[in-house]
Amino acid sequence: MLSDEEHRRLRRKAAVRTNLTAFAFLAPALAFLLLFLAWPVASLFIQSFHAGGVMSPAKFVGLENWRRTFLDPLVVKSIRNTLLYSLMAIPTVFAIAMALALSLNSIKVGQNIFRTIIYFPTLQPILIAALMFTFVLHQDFGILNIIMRAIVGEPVNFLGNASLALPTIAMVEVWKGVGFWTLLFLAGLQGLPRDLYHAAELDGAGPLRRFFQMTLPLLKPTFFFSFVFATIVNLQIFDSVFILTDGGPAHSTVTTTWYIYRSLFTFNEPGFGATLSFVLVVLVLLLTAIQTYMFRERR
Amino acid sequence: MATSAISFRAVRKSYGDFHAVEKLDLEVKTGEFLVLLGPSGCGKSTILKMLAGIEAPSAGEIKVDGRLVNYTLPRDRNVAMVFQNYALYPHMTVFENVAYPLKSRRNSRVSRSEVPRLVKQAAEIVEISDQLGKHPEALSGGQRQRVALARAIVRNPAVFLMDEPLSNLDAQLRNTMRQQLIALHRRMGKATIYVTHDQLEAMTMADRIVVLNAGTVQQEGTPEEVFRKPANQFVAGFVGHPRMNFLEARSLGGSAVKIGDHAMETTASTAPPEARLTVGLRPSDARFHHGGENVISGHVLRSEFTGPDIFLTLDIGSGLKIEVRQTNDQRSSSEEALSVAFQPDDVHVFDKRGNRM
Repeated sequence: MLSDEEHRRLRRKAAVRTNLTAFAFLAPALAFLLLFLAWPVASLFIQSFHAGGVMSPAKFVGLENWRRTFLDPLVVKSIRNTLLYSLMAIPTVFAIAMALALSLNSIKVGQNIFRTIIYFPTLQPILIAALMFTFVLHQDFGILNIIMRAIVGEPVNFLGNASLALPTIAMVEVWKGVGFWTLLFLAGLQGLPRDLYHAAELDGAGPLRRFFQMTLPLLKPTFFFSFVFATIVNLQIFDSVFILTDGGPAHSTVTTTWYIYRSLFTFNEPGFGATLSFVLVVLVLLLTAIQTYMFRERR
Repeated sequence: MATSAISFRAVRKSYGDFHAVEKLDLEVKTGEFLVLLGPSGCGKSTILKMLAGIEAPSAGEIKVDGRLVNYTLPRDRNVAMVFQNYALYPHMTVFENVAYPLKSRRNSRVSRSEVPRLVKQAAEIVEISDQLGKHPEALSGGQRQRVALARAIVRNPAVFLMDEPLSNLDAQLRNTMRQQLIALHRRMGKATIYVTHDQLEAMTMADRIVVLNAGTVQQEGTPEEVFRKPANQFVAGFVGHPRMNFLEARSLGGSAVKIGDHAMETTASTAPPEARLTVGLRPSDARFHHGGENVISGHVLRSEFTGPDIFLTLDIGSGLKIEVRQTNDQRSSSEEALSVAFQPDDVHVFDKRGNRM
């Protein structure tokens, strides 16, 4: 028999061996994380207490950048626009994607072809999609305006109108995102146990009841992921704004990431841009926390 | 004229070239417990699904209480089903699960205020009254099974369908549930179709068994008929545990056969002399220390002690082996050579195509 002390020593040794293997496999990922995430974030945080740094040497300014963040009306507007855009884009893309997923799930022939067609917009870079839409939306020869002219009589200046520009950007993003969400919801639908639907059918539930009382509650985990992911992605809306309107007209499409980009690379105010990006991170964390709370298991 | 609760007339189900069910004719009376027995893929679940309305038959007529239901929605068929994996609604409490059929039926004759009373009544019958507030995930397999039963009985359907309801339970629970299911069936007095691949369940529970293979009915009869007079080699092999021995044999003319060097008298109808036959002998029909007639002798190759019984594998010459069951009290001092006798009644004879003679 080994002594208790000896057993403890051997157990520790075995534990260390197991952990060492795990660390060896995790090390590369950890190195990348530190190098490309932790370090930039840390230096960005330091940056937020400085002015200059690109054309002139960085100068410590204390909380000046943070003070400005709360006073700059464009910051408030950019946050408002970002939230407004998300509120338009996310529910719309979810509703359309759900409808498409339900349709796809119920057709037996040609599902693959339709799936490919619906996913197609998601495959192209947003840069290409946005450029394409500058043509689609063009006031004189855009296809959408040719249609509008036929219906309303006159063309609509989608991107030049301060009250239409943000919804138009939302529409482009919905068009591009709908394929992704459709496939995600479809996967969710196909993962639901079929016997449950058979049972519900026998129990007398019609299609509407089955959707609202079975499908929606059963897809809760899918929806949780979807809302959180969509929030994170959509609060960072940038590319389509950059290409389609560049924040205009009259700052009506200024979003937080656009303002961060401009501050960092155009307005030569990296300190302010750095501060703004932290504001965005806090906003994302806050909304995600609210969603996690709302989707918590209530049992 | 009393109509059957359930009737299938020339019902067929094909998926492309594959025939899941071929020309099924079947009647089930009110109060009858019918078991569909067969290996997986024999079409037994398909029959149930066609009756429930989950699958549509390719041809033929299905009637419930004399009413054609081929083109009727599942919810209008007055049929309740218990699924193999229970199919409980995971996001609802037990109470909500059981109440669901009452609440979701349009034109339901049950008024809202009656729902709690009916749910409690159903819960009492299957003994889950103290579980009503829980969610299915908090229940054991047996309790989930009871909830599924409660959900089926709560709306008082004309017909109960059960698709291998006990196969996910452990052996001991299966025994108790078997008896309780039968008690419940007697109490409800409805037509029940019960699907299983477990011959023991079929034998112990059924009023009548329908043995299926590859989409066709092999035999229909009481458990005793199916066991005593299997219609063909498939039924003989499928029903009864341990499995029946099948031995190549030759006809001696009349009802006598020869297995290897052993001549046996049977009750089968005559076959021409020298006709090639298959003889089936159940391990449990072997009689020891008998001597005289219908004896097969051989020497013991292997013996397995299972507690009450010993299973012996005998080499009976001519390259033939049979398995026989010996009870503990028949046990004799480790014999090398053994003789076992079979009554002529217990010698099952099948022709070249496997049909009983």
